[in-house]
Amino acid sequence: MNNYLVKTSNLKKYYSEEGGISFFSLGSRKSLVRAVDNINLFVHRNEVLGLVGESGCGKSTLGKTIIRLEEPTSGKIFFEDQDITNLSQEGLKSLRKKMQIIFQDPYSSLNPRKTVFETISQPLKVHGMVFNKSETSDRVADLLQKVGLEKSHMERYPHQFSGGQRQRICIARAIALDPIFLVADEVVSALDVSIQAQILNLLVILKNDLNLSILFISHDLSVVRQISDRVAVMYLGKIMEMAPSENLFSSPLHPYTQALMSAIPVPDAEIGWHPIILQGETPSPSQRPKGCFFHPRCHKVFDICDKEDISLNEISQGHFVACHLYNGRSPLQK
Amino acid sequence: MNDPLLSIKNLKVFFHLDIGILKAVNGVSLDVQKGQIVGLVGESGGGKSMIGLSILRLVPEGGKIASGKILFEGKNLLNLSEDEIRIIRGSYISMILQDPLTSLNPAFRIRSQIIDVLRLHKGYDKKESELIAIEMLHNVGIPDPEKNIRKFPHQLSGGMRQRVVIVIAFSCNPKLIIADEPTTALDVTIQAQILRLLKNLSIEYQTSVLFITHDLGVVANLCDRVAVIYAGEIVEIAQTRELFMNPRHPYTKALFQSIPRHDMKQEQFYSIEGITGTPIDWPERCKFYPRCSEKLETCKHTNFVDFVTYSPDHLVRCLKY
Repeated sequence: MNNYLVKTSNLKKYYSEEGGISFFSLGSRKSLVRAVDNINLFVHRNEVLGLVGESGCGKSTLGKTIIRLEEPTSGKIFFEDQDITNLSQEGLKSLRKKMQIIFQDPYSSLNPRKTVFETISQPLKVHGMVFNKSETSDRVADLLQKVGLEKSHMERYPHQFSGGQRQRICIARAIALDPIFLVADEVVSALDVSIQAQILNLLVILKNDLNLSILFISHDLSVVRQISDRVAVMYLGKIMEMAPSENLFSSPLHPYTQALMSAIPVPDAEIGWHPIILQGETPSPSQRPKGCFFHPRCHKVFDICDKEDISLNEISQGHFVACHLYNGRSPLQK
Repeated sequence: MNDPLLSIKNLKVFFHLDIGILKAVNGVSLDVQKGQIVGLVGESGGGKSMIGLSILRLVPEGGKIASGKILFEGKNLLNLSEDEIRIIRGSYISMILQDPLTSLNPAFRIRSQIIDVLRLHKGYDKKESELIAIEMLHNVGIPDPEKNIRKFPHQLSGGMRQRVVIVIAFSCNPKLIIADEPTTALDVTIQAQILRLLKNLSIEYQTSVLFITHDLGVVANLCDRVAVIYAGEIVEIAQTRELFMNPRHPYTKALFQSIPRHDMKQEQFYSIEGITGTPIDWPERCKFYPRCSEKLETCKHTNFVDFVTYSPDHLVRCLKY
């Protein structure tokens, strides 16, 4: 008995970075970029899991690795209880019907030489889901209508649409094969707020109508709060905190989550803004600090933070956090 | 009240395209007082960047300042000769752009990019300007400035690069800084650092800032006054507190409603119907009319809507008032 749709166990994705050639060192030095490191994460059925973090924290790599667009270095990925970590290309093809991805930039993710009809009908043809022309065109028209476009848009090219409309086309293509899992990677980041809201509302409707589970990757905590059932916060390739959305936003436990939230200026002139200003910048994922990766910038750092690793622990029902403050050893807790 | 430091009067910037006239800026008037931070908010394509560029007479090719005045300390910048405007740029008015990677020259070290400005505008020699540069880098929070000043832009992170750009902008102690989306490319935690830095510098140097952004959260916490722009026209201007408590224009209201907030759960995403579009050959009536949820019958036929003083220092451009 298991109600997870997607689950990862100790998932890792490392890249080796060639030290470039410079005047001073002609030999190449290799260093390991730990983009995704030991991630244990799960997505329930019909759930939106928000994945937040700053640029370079590995959230997109994690999204791509989960649907096998990137080969994992080690660890396991389960989808509907099936281990898909080492699935062959042939096996992947049938899996692709069930998991789809939508990217940030609706300009570069659509082929400018293809009409909307060609773009949306291609996956249908590849997977043998339509048998003749009229069926294809009915199906495409139906998909367009689902995402709020019109049948008459079918013969147009991407450049004839606005950014928001293009993102709708990408969504139509993603849901064409009736997937049950969607990775939405910064899907509204390129859009203006008024258009952003239209796309988010569409995603919520589709999630409910089609029973979708969504991994919603974003750097924008405000959007994530509104759309997600649960949220995971990532920093330097690791998950720092994971909890039901309301828990996380009302009582963030990890100092990084707290800093991240306080840094967002609220559009309200009355409340006042008192960000926790973090020291310095995010280190490179190839040169991570010892102990807790966040300790050099942490405002609640204490003696063991730079010595001992820390993994994700369940502090209360469904609220996971990776911080030494919460395993009974912090001076603050005594 | 004193004379404003910068006063834009009825500025129009048009692009004559094959398909028609694009009115990027259509009759904008805006004042910036000394030491004030004025926010200019709106969505992409609203013309906010074009206003910033017009002040320094840097409108891209194809565009023309069709009419209006830009008074800086009483002098109309639009009447200056090319040599005179060059003195204004950098010495009196400088600019910070969104992308610090493209606003720095990749082929030169940080050092020469800062000291060139100091030598040209302030006449310092090499040694003096290097010392000043190092001190300023230290002040904006760049660690180990003696070492980092010898680096190339690509060797620094995005936040560090933007700090360098800020140093260059403030190096000649200008009276006005035009900051065009200076933190949009940065992560929130770095954005918080940079915004605090900008605010402190503007207080310390008594510099006025025209802050161009799409982010209402930033505006609420940084600016003294805010102008909201839509399709090349300012629709509402007020003190920041007043505007956020009491938005009057339907576009301002809709914009506020559509921002998702992290500090509260909202039931639904509020969206504005339709799309912004490009103001090519649009009728002269209210530009927001097609998307407005509060439109009146008269809106359709009224060609020119003037500002109404809703309360002292709160101007709104809507027929409802």
